[in-house]
Amino acid sequence: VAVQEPTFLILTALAAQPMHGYGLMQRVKELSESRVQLRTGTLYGALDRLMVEGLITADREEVVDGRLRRYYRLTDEGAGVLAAEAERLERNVEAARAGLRQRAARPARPGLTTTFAADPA
Amino acid sequence: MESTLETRYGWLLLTYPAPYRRARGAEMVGTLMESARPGQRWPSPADAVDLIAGGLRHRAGLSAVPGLARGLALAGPIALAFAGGLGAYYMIAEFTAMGLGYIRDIYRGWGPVPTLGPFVLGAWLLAALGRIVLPRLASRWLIGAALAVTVLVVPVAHALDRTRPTLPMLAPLALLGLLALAGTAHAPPRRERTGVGIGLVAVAGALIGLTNWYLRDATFVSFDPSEPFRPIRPNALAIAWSGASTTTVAGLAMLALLVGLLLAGVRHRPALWAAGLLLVPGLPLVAPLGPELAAYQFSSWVLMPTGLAAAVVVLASAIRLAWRDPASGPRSPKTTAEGSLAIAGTLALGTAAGVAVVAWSMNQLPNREGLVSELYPGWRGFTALVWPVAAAVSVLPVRGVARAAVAAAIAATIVLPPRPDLHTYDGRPLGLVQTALVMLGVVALAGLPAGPPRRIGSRLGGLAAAAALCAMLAWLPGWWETGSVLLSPYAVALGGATAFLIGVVAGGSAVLEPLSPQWWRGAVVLLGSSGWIGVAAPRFLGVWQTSLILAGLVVIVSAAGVWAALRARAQAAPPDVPA
Repeated sequence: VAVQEPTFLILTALAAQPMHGYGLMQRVKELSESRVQLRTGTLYGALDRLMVEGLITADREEVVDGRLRRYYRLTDEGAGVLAAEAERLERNVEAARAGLRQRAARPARPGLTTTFAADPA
Repeated sequence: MESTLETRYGWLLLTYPAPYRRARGAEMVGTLMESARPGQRWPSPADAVDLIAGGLRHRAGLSAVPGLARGLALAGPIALAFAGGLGAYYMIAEFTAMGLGYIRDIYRGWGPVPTLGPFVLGAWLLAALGRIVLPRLASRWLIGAALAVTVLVVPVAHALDRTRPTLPMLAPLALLGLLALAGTAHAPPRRERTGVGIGLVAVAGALIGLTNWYLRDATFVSFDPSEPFRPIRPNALAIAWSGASTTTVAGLAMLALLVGLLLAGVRHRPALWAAGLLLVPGLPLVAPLGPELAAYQFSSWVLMPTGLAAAVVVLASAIRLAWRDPASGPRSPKTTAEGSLAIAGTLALGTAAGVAVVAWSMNQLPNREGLVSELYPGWRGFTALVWPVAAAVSVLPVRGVARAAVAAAIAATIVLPPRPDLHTYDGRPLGLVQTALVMLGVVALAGLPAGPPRRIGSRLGGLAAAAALCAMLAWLPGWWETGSVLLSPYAVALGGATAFLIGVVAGGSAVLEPLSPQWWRGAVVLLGSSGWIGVAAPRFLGVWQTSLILAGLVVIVSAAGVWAALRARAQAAPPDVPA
């Protein structure tokens, strides 16, 4: 089953190292080249869900400038889900590349009238 | 000192429930302040909307529930197939009167009434067909249009002075439509298109077959035009309605089968969500079981709130089962065989308490002749009390007390002489009720663990939900004719058995070796919670023919569960063997 992109990005960010809320938001934005910008309510909704599913877990807490930071890390189950999803995406990418290679290898169609002649099928 | 911005974020966080704020509030404010621009004084509108939405999702209990989205995607096509099948059936009944000559004759005597009914049901037929053949977006527009027609027909019919389907029919249709709209956001795979088509044909075909069978000698009280709440198109609508009620049972059977099948391949929560979501529109339709009652109950608006309330309780139970506590880790106790047996036992005991109280209160209310029967003292002082007491005692954190209380309740029920026959009103419940109580007690004995409850609140909630569900279902008008009080323990015991099956599959093969103590207890729970319907069925066959369908349903669900368990066992990875 496909994992939603924000979830995939959160898991990806946490795969490298435990991170706290704001760090995660930044990293997800970076990873997605600013396409995915999680807001706080959405982020914590996703974190809650991932914790319930057992894919991530709370790691440690720090107080920085009088503010609480809680770090999250990937569980083994989360790493498994991420690996499976990465593999699935890899296969999709491979299929897309193969298709594009075939397209490039085919002779260009000069025009409508010669279509049937040019197309081997 | 707190900055202004921080205070304002704090106000926005008030949309979250207090326990959540205590656990997460400081951390979230920290994250919000870190992401704020320097000198920012007000939360951005986008952040504000996001936080309010997040808080409301939390309060609705939806934010951290995995499987809801996939459950919705499972439920959407089923809801659409059902609405479409209803539409197809109605169109056939309305325009061709195929095999429905009997009703057609009655109707002709009454004269035609221009109605907007075909527009509503035709729209649902089109929407379902659209999902089968059209691309995703176009099909969703059709579903939205059918939903709009279902809602707008009320003011339009009023404005044009035309008749329309009754609200008890429109409301479940609208709910099914909402489910269909919410659950079809994805592009339909070929399998789903085929599934909607098969479902549509199956529902329409089952309705035609069942109504022909049921109507062979039925009398429709509400066909009398002087009835204040008579159906406006008596023929097709009455048939569709009564047929809908019976076929919803068949639909629920299919759904149960689906749940069983899904359990084999899908993690159980999405399947539970799908079942819970479909029960909301399904139960109001299923409430009047059997066409005679359906026709009789057209005049009763009591039915709708009762059915809806019961649906809410069932949905809550499904959510309760689907919910997994974050603290308990990926595999909580309730996904093991032991935990599921405990759920089944709890539901059975709660149901027994509900049955006892309802059977007691039935004699406190005037029956159809306006008579209040004198209560049999042995029943009042003894059996009616002993079951609720056993349920209450089972919550106590003392080892063995629950089983002892249930055993005592069974003994107290057996010693009471049963009422001799249906027509003797001496204030005693039927022997059937006693049989049901004893069998539920057996399920409770087999299901409840010897040790104290792991979580007292959880057991209390299960008992209360089961008792409430039982009371509501049993409260349906007409119980005095059909003994429909028997439906409620059936429904909940089936829930218990389902919970057990879920446990079997979720727990996997490791926890349930054949002929282990749990296996035996599981078998007793399954037989006990489904078997007594077989005792009930022959007796009431004349007035309650749906019991045949229900008995079939039990067989199907049990078979699906066994199949799913076997498949899960076959698929389970070999155990880790140390090298």
